[in-house]
Amino acid sequence: MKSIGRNRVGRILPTLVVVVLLSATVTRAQKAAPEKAPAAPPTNTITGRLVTQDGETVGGAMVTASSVGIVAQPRTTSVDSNGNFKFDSLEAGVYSVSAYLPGFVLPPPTVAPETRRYYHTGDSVSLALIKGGVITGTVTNSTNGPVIAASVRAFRIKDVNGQPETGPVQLRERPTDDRGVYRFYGLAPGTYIISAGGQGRLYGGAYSGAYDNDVPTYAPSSTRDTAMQLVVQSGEEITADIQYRGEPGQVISGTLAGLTQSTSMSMGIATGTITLTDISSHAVLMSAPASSVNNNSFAFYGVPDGEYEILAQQYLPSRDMLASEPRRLKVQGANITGINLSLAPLASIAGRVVLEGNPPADCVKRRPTALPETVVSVRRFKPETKPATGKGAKNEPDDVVALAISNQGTDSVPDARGDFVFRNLQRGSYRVDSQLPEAGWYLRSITLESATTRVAGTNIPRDGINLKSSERASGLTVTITEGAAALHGRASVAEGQALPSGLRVYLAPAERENRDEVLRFFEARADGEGRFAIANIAPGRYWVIAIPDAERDPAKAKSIRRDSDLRAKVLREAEALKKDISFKPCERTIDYDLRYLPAAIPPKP
Amino acid sequence: MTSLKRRLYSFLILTTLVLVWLPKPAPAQSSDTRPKGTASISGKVTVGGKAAFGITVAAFVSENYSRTASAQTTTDSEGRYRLFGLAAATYQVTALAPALITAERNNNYPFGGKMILLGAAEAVEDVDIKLVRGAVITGRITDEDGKAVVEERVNLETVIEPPGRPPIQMSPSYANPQMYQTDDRGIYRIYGLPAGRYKVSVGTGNSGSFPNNTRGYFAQTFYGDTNDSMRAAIVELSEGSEATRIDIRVGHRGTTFSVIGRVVDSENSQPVAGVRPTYGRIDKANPGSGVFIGGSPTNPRGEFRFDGVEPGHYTIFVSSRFDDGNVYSEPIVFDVVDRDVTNLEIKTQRGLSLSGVVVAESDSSKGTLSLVVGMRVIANVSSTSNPPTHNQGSGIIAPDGSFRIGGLSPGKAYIYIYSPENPNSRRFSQLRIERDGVDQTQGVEIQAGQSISNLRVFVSYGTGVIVGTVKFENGSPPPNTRPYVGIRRDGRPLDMGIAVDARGHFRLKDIPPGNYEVTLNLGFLPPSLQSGRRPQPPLKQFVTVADDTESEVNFTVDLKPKEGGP
Repeated sequence: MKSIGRNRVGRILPTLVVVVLLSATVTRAQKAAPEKAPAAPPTNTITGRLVTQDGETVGGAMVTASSVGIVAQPRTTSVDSNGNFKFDSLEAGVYSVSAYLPGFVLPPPTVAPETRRYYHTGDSVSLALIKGGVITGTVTNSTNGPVIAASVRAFRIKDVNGQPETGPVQLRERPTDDRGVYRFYGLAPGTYIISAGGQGRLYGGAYSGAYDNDVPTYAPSSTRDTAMQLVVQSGEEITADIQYRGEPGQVISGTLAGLTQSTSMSMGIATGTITLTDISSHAVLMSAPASSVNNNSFAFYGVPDGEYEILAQQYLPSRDMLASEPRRLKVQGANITGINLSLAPLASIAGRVVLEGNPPADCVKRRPTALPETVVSVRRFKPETKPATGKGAKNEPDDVVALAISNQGTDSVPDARGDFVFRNLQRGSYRVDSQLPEAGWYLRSITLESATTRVAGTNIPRDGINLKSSERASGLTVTITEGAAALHGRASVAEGQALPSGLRVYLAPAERENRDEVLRFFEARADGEGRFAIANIAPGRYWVIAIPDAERDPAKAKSIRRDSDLRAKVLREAEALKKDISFKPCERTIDYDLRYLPAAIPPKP
Repeated sequence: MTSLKRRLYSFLILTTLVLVWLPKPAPAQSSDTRPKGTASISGKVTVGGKAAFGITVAAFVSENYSRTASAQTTTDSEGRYRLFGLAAATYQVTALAPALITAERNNNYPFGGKMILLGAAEAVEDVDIKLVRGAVITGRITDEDGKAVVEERVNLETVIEPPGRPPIQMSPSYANPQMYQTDDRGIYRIYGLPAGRYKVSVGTGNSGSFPNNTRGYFAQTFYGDTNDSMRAAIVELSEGSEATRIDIRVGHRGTTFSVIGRVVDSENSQPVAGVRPTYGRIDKANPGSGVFIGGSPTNPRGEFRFDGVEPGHYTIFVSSRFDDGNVYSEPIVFDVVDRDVTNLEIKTQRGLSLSGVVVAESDSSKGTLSLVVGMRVIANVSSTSNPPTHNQGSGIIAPDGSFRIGGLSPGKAYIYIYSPENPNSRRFSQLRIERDGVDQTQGVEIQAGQSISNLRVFVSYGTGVIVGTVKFENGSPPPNTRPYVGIRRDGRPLDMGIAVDARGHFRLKDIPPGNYEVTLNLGFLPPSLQSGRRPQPPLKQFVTVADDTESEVNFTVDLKPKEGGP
């Protein structure tokens, strides 16, 4: 109930927002000094500190550093009694750092999920864990006896802010004990539903249970539609008993074609994994294997009535993945048999990062490691709907995308030659972006050559890349150029006025010919005191403007490079404001004072 | 299966499970819709001798380790069950009630339950399942500060009973690994245990624990808060009892270390990239044993690294085992004491090869060779180094029957034909292996620097069937009996033996034509055989097998105590 309320507020709020116009004045001459920070000593370590959110140190925690580019096993280390950790002898590269301590979880991300947080050698990492929540209870049958060794599952259906999960739903699975008791701990805060019985999603176990073929019973004694929603907070324990119903369900069965047998003995028998995903909640409910051992057939038992997506996947030793078309099914009181799924390669995009040096500019400190420290990413997006043009309108439906594949985008790091490849992409539209190795570089261009199926001169940063099923696109070129500028400053208000919260500072191209250059739009969130910093700026002339954002959750804020409406609005308002700023190569502008006068303008009709 | 082949298979499976993180473990379930038929199995379930109501009983096809029940039901108020709609097959009939345990010792470990060879349209009755209530051990694990130790594995070991008392058969912990782990409060609860005497411990003993234990490890601590197994407090469980407060307080977490090194070519000292060093903790007294773990492939500089290694005695080597590579190395032995081990250098040698040809047996094996083409010849090599290394290679059989296996080390190679992806590969009989007319079936010696190129692997294939029964007279067999039937032809065993089912039935299929000696292995010596003077009842029989026919062989075992015997 609570979360529904929140949803409504979320929908209504944007229409009530009063757009505030900020006027900025430069109160201090630009301090334009191509500063040379003291050269950091070369280092091959990532250091860090791990504490709980209360600042306490915790023993027995493990930290993992996984490289994105280098094919190497993740490095793990333990946290010392002071909460410090260190990875040494790392190769230059791009690393993600995560922590593991049973019962604890990392807090939800504070940046948009599009921007994963990565580290380079020499960086220091600060991690704070929060104590997970607990859901425990007893599963009993109709005679109040314990339901023993039944698979109990916890699905997180909404995040900590009550927003429905968009990707595949997190799922935890545990068996009941001989008293019918189950216990989930270390649950990330959010809203959960709990079920008992049914075919386990994980089929590694050697034994079958008595309840595997039943329709799962949701707490308290319900179907999925009417399942009790449990709001889990950090460190809190909730009890949810289940009165088990043990009802039989339907069977979904079929066969799988197109399995690829590896020539390597070590890979064993080629096996596909078929998943059954609940469409309403995006939860992968069951999975089943298919291989030559069982005549390439699969079956799901105990399927409750409902709407499902069925999808087959096979992972190959090459790290490529095969997948079937996602198939949607409606189960209504009858078995569904004879489903034929067929595996096909997923799409891929190959490309290259080109580094353009600019020796006279000379603001890059770690030139030799720049390539392996660059991240190129693609993110799937839903193109803004355009009116059907008749011709070519019969494209494959973009919105039918497999819910079971979490991979809505992927990150890649170029090799020593600058080559990279994005594997295992579903069909659809993808935006390309890059996280640059350090402040001295800017993203000059993203182009796609030799695209036979595409019109030459397509604006890739603006329109993205549209991939067809199994398409192998190549010739994506990401050009990164030396000589980036930087802007540090503070938004200020006249005395007696307060800074609006959620203030964002934008740079928009002031040269008319660059209006469509998405890579010439920049943004930064101002902190509570109005401070902001923008790095990796392409030299040139820009409009500068600060606009409050109605979105309170920084992870959900709109991004100017991903939203054409936002770009148009910022450009319109900035051109009206006419506050400009120019950057020479490598120029660092600091202490920039962005002065403004809030003024209400009526929402557009 | 002969014991040799079984050993090879189990080695293969173990190492595959440990070394390769397969996205999906090997035996896939048969999800091909449940076999429909008109046969049935019925019986009665008792718990502690009393009829048990509401117990789930299921039949699984045992041949393919199916996880999906072919039929499932629950017992009525008189404990009766009836599983119907079954097709002809061999089934495991099992009560799905993990808090209860079997009261009969002749269960089909590790599946539990009873094996039934079921004919088409047959109604098998009186397949009774006798259960007793399992016992429970529960307690809490805390550290030296009294804080809960979370997600720590609890080990149970049975106290070795004096001779004469049957050993306790526990269901394997991998059946329910989560049950053996402490929760966020440090609490564990293990149920379904047979009555007996147990030692409970947490932490790592000399045998080592799961690798990559970067979080640190606890020295093995027993209930009774001692590190000494001999001084561990014994937990005595009677049938259906619950031992509570079996709490253990562990010491401080020990630090683990990293093991770092590189792999180089012994000839030119160049780094060898892309090979997986295998390491394992070994027992100084018994260096051949140990669990071996394969790491990630070496990087372009030939470097490797293992984090989270506990102090101990280790060996590390490179083999072609799972990489289809072409190098091997001698093992290096090292100790992890109180710091990282760096600068290990593994020197590789070029792998040796075994090649030859698969030969179909001449008489009535028409088309055998065409069936075997595309399958794999596998060689498992145990080196003679100290400690020994294990090395495996395989080659695919070409249309002319030839094969080549590369990347092998010197040592003794055991050779067999098997293709996991091809169910037909189970239907071949491998008769013998020859080299220059000399029998090498018991292993091919590969000498250093010498590849072998003239092996002949003889195979045969047939569609004959041997069926039969085993009857016991004048008594019941001992509780541990698991009768097993094997066959020999021309004095050589064929790897096609099979266990006798709960009714004393057996059925061997895919037998090549010929004259066979069929032997019954009881696992014990019946009294009638214990006397040298009396005529021995036939535990061996002779039978002729032809394609597409069933030949029958029956055994009768006399259990009458020897006259005047003990």
